Amino acid sequence: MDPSQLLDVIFTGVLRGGLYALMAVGLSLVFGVMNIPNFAHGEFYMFGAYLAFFSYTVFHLGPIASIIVAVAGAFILGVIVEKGLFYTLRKRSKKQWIMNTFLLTLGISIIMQNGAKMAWGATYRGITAFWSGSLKIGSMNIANDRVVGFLIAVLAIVIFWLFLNKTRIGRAIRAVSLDETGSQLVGINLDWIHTLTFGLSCALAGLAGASLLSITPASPVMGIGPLYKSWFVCILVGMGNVGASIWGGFIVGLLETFSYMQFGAGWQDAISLTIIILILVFKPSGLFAKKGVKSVLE
Amino acid sequence: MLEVNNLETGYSYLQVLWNVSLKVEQSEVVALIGPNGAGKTTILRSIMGIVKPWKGSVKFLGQDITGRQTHELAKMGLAFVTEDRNLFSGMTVMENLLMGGFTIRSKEKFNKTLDYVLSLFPRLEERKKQYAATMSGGERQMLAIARALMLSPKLLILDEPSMGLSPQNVDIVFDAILKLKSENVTVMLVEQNVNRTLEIADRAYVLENGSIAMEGKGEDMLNDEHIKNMYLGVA
Ligand SMILES: Nc1ncnc2c1ncn2[C@@H]1O[C@H](COP(=O)(O)OP(=O)(O)O)[C@@H](O)[C@H]1O
Ligand SMILES: [Mg+2]
Repeated sequence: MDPSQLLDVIFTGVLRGGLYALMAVGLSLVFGVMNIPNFAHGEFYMFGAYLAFFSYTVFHLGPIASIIVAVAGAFILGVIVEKGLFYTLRKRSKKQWIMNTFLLTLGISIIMQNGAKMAWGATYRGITAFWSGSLKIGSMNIANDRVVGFLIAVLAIVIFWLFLNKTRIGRAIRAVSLDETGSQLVGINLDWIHTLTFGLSCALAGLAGASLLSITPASPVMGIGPLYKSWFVCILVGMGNVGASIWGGFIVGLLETFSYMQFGAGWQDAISLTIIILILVFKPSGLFAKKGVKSVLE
Repeated sequence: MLEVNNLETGYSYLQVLWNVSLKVEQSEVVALIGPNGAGKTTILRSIMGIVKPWKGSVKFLGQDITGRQTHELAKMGLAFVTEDRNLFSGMTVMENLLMGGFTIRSKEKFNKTLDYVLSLFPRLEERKKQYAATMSGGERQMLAIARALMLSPKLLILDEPSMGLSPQNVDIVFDAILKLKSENVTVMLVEQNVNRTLEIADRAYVLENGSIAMEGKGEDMLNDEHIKNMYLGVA
């Protein structure tokens, strides 16, 4: 691999990594705070893509406005799903919580996929570009949308990171992920934090789906790929570790791009997954599992 | 200030408490002692809404708070330091204290409370940036009490604060409670260290097998034959 190729790998990998990180942060957050292994995360990505598509093409909103509509819509749907399903389940029984919510998210995923198929058909709904043109970096032409999408992802992650670490409500979300009883004793309303957390996680997924609309057009099953990728990331770095899932996103993005360029498209998943499995053999609780800090499963 | 009336409760089908009534008045230090497994922690949990009472009622500041949600009680000024401490181990000392003041919205009041709490436990000031998970047992207990005090509680409830601590740290904890007492903070204290507890308590209740077996003034209890035999280890 010569230097210019290496540069290509790094650029492409980092651009992809931004998307994976954005998806993984939300997935990790919901697992860390609510102990829900969310297998419907990809469907909120899909929902965001459709909302952006209709806002842009039917209602002729601008790119930024379309993306904002998608984020807001995904947030609201997330809140409705949380209040309607997880909240209701939590009030009834917390027995077998992880298994029950896992099954529940599978159901949500199936319903949302088929709902989208019923409402909007199985066809791809894409746009040529939010921001037409491309950027020449080294030997590659990278579509503007990919670059802007990446910048949006990085910006969203930075804002979200500041929110979790520097604001009162953000800290409360982290507190709930560390100790539920302790959180209630300092006056945090668990139900409220749970609903907010799920909504925010969905909003991030919606943002990812919307900002990459020109690259991956909206379709009912478009969420499956990003779902599994974000799961790889979370498993690789350690479940529920939100900060590490950002780095994990970039690691997986780079690994994949490297495998793709070196061995061809057919190999990219096989090689990158093999490497992830090898890492997990030596670090079974994830690359960044912290010592002394309680993980959600303890 | 706090009134527990005919409380009965338990876990799933196992009843733990029978007809428990007790009272804490403004500015009092009230001790609750009794053997392991008697149900002391369960009483505190039912006051705090962590365990739902089956029968009976809990009143705080004249309001019926039976079965109310824990976070609402925190907002009313009830602070509870649990046996397990329930610290935010992945957060720093400072962040834990920040969370302790979650219900305080005024920056000024928050800073005042923080200064006060740090003056009570100067050790925490030195350890501000350390993660709670990496602190010693004594420091964690100090942090747990400090975090509870950040709420500016009207009533501070402590569940075995000296449990598992070195003699030195036990001193620090009891000194802190004495200081709070001198400042007229109302405290409800569950302890195994019966001797020292009765010395500082205005009144005490003895819980045995889930019922109140005795109640009285702290000093009177110190001289009681039953207490001496059962809890003070003097024959
Ligand atoms: N979470 C729980 N689930 C079931 N039983 C419990 C639980 N906590 C305590 N118990 C039981 O309730 C009884 C009283 O416990 P507890 O209130 O912790 O006593 P104490 O604090 O006086 O040592 C004990 O028999 C104990 O085994
Ligand atoms: Mg106990």
